[in-house]
Amino acid sequence: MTDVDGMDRPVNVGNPQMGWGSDVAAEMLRRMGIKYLSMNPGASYRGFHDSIVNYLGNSDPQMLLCLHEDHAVHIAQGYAKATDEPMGCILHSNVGLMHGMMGVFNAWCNRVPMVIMGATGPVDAPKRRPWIDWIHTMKDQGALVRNFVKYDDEPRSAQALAETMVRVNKTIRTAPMAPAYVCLDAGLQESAIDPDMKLPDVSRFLPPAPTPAAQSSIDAAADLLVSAKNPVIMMGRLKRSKEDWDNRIKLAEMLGAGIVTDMKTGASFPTDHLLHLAPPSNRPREEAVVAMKAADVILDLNWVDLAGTFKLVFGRADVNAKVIHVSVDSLIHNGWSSDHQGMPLGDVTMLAEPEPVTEQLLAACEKRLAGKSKWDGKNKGRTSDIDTKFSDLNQDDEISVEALTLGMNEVRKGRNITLTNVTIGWAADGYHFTHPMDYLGNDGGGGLGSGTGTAIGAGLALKDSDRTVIAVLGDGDTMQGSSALWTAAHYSIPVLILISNNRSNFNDEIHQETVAKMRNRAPENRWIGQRIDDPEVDIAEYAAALGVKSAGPVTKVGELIPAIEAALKVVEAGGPYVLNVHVQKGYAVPPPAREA
Amino acid sequence: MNEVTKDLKNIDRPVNLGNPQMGWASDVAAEMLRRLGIKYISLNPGASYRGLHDSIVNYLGNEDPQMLICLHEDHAVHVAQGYAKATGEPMACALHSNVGLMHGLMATFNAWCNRAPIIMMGATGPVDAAIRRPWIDWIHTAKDQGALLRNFTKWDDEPRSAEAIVETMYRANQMARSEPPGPVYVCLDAGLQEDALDGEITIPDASRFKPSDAPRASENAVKEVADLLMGAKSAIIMIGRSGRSQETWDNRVKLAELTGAGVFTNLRNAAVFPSSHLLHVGRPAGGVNPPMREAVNKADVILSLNWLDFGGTQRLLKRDGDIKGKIIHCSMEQSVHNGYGMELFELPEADINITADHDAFVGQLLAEIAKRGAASKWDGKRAGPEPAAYEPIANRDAGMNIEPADIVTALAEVQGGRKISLNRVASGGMGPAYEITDPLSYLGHDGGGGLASGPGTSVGAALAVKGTGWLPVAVLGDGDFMQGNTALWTAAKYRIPMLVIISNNRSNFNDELHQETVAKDRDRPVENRWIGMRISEPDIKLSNLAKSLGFESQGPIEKMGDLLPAIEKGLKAVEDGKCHFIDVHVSTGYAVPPLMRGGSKGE
Repeated sequence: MTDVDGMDRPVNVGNPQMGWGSDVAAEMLRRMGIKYLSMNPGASYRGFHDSIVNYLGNSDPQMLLCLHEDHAVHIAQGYAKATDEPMGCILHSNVGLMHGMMGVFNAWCNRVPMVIMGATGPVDAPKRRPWIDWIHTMKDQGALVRNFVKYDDEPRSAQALAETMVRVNKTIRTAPMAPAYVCLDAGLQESAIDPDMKLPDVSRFLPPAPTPAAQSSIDAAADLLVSAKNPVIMMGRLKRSKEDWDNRIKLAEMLGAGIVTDMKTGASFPTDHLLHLAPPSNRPREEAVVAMKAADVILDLNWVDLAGTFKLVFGRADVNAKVIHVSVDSLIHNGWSSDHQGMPLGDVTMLAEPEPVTEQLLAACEKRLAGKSKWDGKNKGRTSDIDTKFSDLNQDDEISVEALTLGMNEVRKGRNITLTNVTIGWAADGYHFTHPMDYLGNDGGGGLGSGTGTAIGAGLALKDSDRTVIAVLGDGDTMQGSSALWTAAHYSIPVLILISNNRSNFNDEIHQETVAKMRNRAPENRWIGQRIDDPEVDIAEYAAALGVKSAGPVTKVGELIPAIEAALKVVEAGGPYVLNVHVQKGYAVPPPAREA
Repeated sequence: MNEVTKDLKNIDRPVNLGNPQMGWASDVAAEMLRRLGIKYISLNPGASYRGLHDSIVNYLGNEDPQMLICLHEDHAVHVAQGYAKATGEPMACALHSNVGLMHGLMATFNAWCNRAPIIMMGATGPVDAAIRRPWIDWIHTAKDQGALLRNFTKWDDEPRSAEAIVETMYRANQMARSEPPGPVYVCLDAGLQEDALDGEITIPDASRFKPSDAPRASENAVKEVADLLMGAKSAIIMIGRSGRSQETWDNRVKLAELTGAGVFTNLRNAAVFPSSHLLHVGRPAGGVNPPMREAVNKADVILSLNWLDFGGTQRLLKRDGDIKGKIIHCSMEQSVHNGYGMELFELPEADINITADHDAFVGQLLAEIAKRGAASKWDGKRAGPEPAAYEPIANRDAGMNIEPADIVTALAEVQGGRKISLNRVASGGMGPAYEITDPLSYLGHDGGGGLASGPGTSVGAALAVKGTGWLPVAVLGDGDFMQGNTALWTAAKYRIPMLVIISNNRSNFNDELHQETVAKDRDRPVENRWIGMRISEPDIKLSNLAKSLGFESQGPIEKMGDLLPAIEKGLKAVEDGKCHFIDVHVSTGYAVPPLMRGGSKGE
């Protein structure tokens, strides 16, 4: 096992002095507490690259070499999803930025903090080399990402750069968290600095404490909640902290509220709790729909798409429940992206963060209830048990997505597994989340190619923890970002990438079937332009070629658990593993398809 | 392994089509692609264009255009660029909503810088919020998606009715194909795609919306330049990015032979002039070499025919002092320059600027010279220095390491009478032996210096020459290859024969040289230049990787003695219709080191 920190060690760095524009950027990243910078190299940031290696000695932050900028951004996203802390990444000039843009959009939609360091060819034309520096220089590169980052800047001096960096640090760590982009002029990077320049003290530019709600709003919400007969709480995008998780359980139990959770976001509430209404899903399951329709008060704690979920649950019917909407998300909504979703209802609206609001509501409700719980202790949901057992399955059968989920549920025994992401087909009925680190949520922006990178980022973040990190990825998603595996091999990142391989961009087959039916055309052609078959990609061999241990295809139910166990041995010894599992085409719960 | 005989047209055949009627707005877009003569549409699927997808499969029957599935949008755009490089004709590609568009942006920039025509079909989630599905349709709807690439496409549109699509597609076609050509982007609202047509749509005849001829030079300009060339003692013609036609190729040779002018070419561009011609100055190079400097110092007339980065080249040529010869620059380039990208390059010096199609200008000059009845000024002598002698690979010690330039040299040595269409040459350059003999002998570089382009453009170029007798060969660097490697699968799937050879130095080596430059400038240790650069530990087993994607493969080839047999085997495989891959381990280094930006201490 090679520790990440022992990789790529520079020699003879001596006692380097901060002397160049790019040294300031590097120094500020260290002072901001950035541990890693994922990157693909490029001459536009060669000054900055030198500062990381020869000024900082390639630690705090350490560079992580990737084979594509898409991977670099997604690794940083995965790290943030697992820690709520920013990592950095570096994107070379305009071309690397363009390669990384979809990853930035995913990170934006996922509201994760990230420092994106970019660069441009010399803004001063006489400094440009012919051809290459001209094609890699554009005006205002930040404009490419401005609609989906929180902040961007292209400082014009080393002193300005220092201020840019403290602003970035504060901005990305303030909710709603999101990436920021700093573009470093190649010329500025390589200019000597004023030896007397002073760096700002990062500790004096820290982000504010999480924003609580006004007491009057808390009182209004608490009045509604304590008097509700059938309250429901919708747990949306929330932090990974165990303390906040426990607070949410306390609040639910105090109010006897039914709980709805979402597969889009990380684990937010124990799914085996008696108050948890139905397995988390991309669309509410039947028991959750019934409870929401019967609810008289609904508390929305930063649910990603309240209007859309209501549309699925209530259709055109009125929402009679009083809705308490808690979110600061609207602070970064803009007119370009529709990732703000439909307009959410809110009878009581709090522009406040769900974690402090939960504490405030706990106090306010406790006072009103004089410490008594409204919950009768009964099971509000469908069941707290998983209905089917893996051992009930026929061992010679092909593997369904349900069988895969149940198999995962078997191997988790005795382990603390973190699922970084799962496929659309994942059967949430078969696998409970009982800790905030059990599941990290989806990619945010629905941009494929993210799975492998985010899994590696999460594996990096959790390598020294007691968590075993597993990603369950579709083959379409995997193949769009597959060479990220090399980075996992190079830095020995412990992560199991399990491919739920249906040899197709299957979600789109469902769409083509829908359209063909609408048009009275042949739905049997739905596979054309979708199937990743003939030849099938030999994913295990592909992974092995990149230095990652691998196996598969696993095709029978009986082979599944031994294969995962063997894979986890490698991961638990400190390295990556790819397991190719052939699954039947199909979904446990089909996602909503747009109808005519 | 796949059966090699499978014809591309027989792959992905739909069934039970019946006699489909044009009934939906997306059918209009599909119909228009067919009427524009688009043969293929490379894509990675996505629900935002499911209407168009259905129209191509179930309305057009998946032919003219036929869909080519790719594993990443970066590949889809690069495949289209490669096809355009080899044919001068646009292919289409489809990019899913905002996310697929973002994945394809860098490749669009490459195509833009390469002035490659592409019809890019995009889509947005329903612009009418009321018909969006929750969540997914909202994250995949962004306003004015064309704004993301407006600065590096020739034109974009987002039509609002089926009728408007007709006009949009005709304009897209004109814009993409007119000189200088380039990519165009058409964004189709998911809602519109799925609207039923309201009555008959009238589609006027495509022949009435053809792109116009490119502008010609004025008669005065033609006369003036003909006077200068025919009166010159020592003329030079610098031939830049040009079309693939044999006629214009022959015209360039004629002009050179009539005027006796020395000819410069550049490896960034596809073949424009025979490299073995006595008037070709030096070997084809990526920049400026000493024979070129020497020729410019002597020249009294210098004609640039759309030379790429003429200003930057002048800067390099001026190291020995000002350029004394009269400079003529013929190019349409400035008609697509804007304030955003610097791919307009340094403003070149020119005594005479001519905004006209430079290939047509050559024809005009030939006509003018013919009219004068002037005899050829060429004495039949070589314009540059004699080619340097080199040791054929066949004679070298079999145990030697392989240098980057040796790959293309080996290709030349085993070529025999085969017609090779070479896409890219990696860091080794053209080497001493491979000769550019035809417009398809070499297809140039990526345009925008955006890595990952090699595999995709090579697949597109191979598609373009499939069945023509040309053998497509790509020589790619490992850093570039690894950024776009899964593009190979598309060639395997569609049985597109091609040979891919990786010049594998296990590093992003160009950047190592940059780090060395910076470290020296800062008095820091140059020995750390490899950190964050080397693609080793583990070494990637490229031949296994290619195999996993459906290619036959060999390698790593590590010793000189194994190189010729490996390439011979690869060429034979391509002749047999196979997809073949060779991983060649080369020493780190360049045949000609690229230009480094000087540090604060100057160059």
